[in-house]
Amino acid sequence: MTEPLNLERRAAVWEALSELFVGKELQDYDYAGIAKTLRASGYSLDELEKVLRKEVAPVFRSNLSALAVPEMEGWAQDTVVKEIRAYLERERTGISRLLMRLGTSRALPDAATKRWQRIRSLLS
Amino acid sequence: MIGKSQRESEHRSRQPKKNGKMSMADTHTATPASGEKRALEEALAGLQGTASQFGATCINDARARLQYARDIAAVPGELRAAIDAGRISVSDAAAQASALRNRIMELARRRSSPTARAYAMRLKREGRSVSELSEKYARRLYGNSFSALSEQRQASVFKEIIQASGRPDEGVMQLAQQLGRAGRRLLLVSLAVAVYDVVEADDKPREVMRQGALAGAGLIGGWAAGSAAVAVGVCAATAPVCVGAIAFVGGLLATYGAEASFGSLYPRPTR
Repeated sequence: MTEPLNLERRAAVWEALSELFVGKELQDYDYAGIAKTLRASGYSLDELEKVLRKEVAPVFRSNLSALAVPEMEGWAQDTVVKEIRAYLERERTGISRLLMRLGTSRALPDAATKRWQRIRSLLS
Repeated sequence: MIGKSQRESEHRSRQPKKNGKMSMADTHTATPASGEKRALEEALAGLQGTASQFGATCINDARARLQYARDIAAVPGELRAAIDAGRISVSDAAAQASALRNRIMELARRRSSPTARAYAMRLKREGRSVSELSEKYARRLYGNSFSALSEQRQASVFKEIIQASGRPDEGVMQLAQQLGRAGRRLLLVSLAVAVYDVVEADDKPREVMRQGALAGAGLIGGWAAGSAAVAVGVCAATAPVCVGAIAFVGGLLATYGAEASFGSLYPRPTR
């Protein structure tokens, strides 16, 4: 996605997708709520998957790591926007650019993959 | 003039141990002049100390995480009992559930190693407030703002906040068990090398003390270096790679230091 960032539109998507990385067990109403927000954003499924992998996952995947004491309830939209913008706007040269590429090409954590598949099925 | 027993002793010290193998502990006395063997021994000691450090850290972090899952799962039951007994209102119980979970998370992070703590704090330092949660659950459950809901529905929103506070994802929590298993394996390998060294050593009590010193130094050195790196500002409290690297180097240096100090405090007996 190379068009200028529509922050208002994107913020809701970022917040919804960040919920795929929480430590609690998501309920049916959570999946329905996330899918509703994503549908309302107007982004296609492919665009949403790109946002998930390139913008949200690199920031929030650490919550699902074996090392983390995971956050259960997720993050407020302000926090999500602040963290993702900081990640996207960080200037990168040399190794940090390479690390960023590696970070975005990594597979999603298992829990996030399963949750994303469920969201995809609700959206398609 | 060299006596027979002295010649035999010298001959024994030149002989490789059983099956031609030499223990790490023996390399000191077998070839005291060999700088290469000395360096190898120090490197192996460092590796062993670091393995102990990693193993113990993994086990500790896994324990902290499993305890976290157990503690938050216990919260809803206790609060429900308090509501049923009329000791607390549903709205107060929801606020307590949220506050308790945040407190339990904070405690679990404090119990974790400096690296895991930095990893966990990378994203967020404070939990969400109960008003944020009420709004979120009201929209999820009833598609409406919390203030627009009837009293009965507001109560069910609070009840769901309490229930959700104790619902960790099983798949996510299983990662802690994997971490604990990896830690135990690493610690076992380190222990096996230590036992081998003790069995092969001539002075077994001394070797037991040496192995204890190496493992202890690796563990304490790594933990202390990671904590100090955050305390003095070398690494941000939220920079796990920096904290992890310093903990690793700290553990390694502490093991080298322990090896050198132990060697000078308790020199190997001459044979």
